Amino acid sequence: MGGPSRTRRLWLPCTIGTIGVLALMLSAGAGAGTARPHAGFGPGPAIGTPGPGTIQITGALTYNGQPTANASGPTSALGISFNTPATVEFFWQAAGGKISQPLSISIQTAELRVYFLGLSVWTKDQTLSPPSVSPKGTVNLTADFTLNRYLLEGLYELSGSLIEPNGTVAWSENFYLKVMAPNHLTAVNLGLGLVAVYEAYTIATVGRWLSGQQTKADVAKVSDEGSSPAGGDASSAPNHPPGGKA
Amino acid sequence: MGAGSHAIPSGVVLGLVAVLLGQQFSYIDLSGTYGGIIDLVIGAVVGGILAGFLGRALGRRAERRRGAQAWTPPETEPKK
Repeated sequence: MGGPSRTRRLWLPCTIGTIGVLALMLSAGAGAGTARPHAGFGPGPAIGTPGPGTIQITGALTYNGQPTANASGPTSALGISFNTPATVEFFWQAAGGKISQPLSISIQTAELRVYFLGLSVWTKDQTLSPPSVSPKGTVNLTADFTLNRYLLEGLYELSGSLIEPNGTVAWSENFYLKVMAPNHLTAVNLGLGLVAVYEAYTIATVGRWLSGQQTKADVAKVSDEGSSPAGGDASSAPNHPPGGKA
Repeated sequence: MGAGSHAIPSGVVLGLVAVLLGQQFSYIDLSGTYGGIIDLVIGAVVGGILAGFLGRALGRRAERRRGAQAWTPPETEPKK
């Protein structure tokens, strides 16, 4: 096992990683308002403050036929696998308004986002052309994660949004998915497992490392003692034992 | 540098790995910005502290063992 050079080598990525995490926290925190259009969970109105004459939109989302309103927390996440593409259905309905005002809402895009550490790491959308202008409607999109089925698993937060042509988020809902891989055999798990084994081995052999350090120190001490004459100047000393006798 | 200090970086990495494996296998939620980063930081700090103590204990044990092996009676001590 290494010595001080290995320790310095490990401290460097740790320091860089910590700085990176802090930078990530600051950048994601600054953009958090735009990253998550609907902070609350479950279906709900998203246009202005409800009042007399205001059109309110209610919506619902199903993931492979299962309503996501019941998966608003990590422990109630929908259990899925990445083996087959998933069908995501958005429903919306407008309510309220005035008698003279047509009760319709214009929806152009249905969007699905996956978040990790507050950042949107995957986006899938379905754009309607022309936009759907009606008091209620449905949009379907297919979320195909099959390429990732041997890459990762775990708990992820998703956000489904309905977006108007002007870019305004008309309705959105956050929900959780618990992705399960067969036998947990994914590249990420194997990589993390290898890193864990290596670091555990490093800690377990710290005693051997310390012995190596002390042996090196002893050798250096003996060689220093051997190369400098007793009571003499070390810089001008010849490089052999004092007196020439071993 | 002591054995405890030598083990701390490995413990930090192990703590981060433990949190990430928890997200993969269990219900640790790393989706949120602050919640996720706090979980990772807690994992790193706890891992570093535990590894520091463990490394220190292992280092002391190794020193004791080395001291016992290095000790020789005065008459059999090799000449310098």
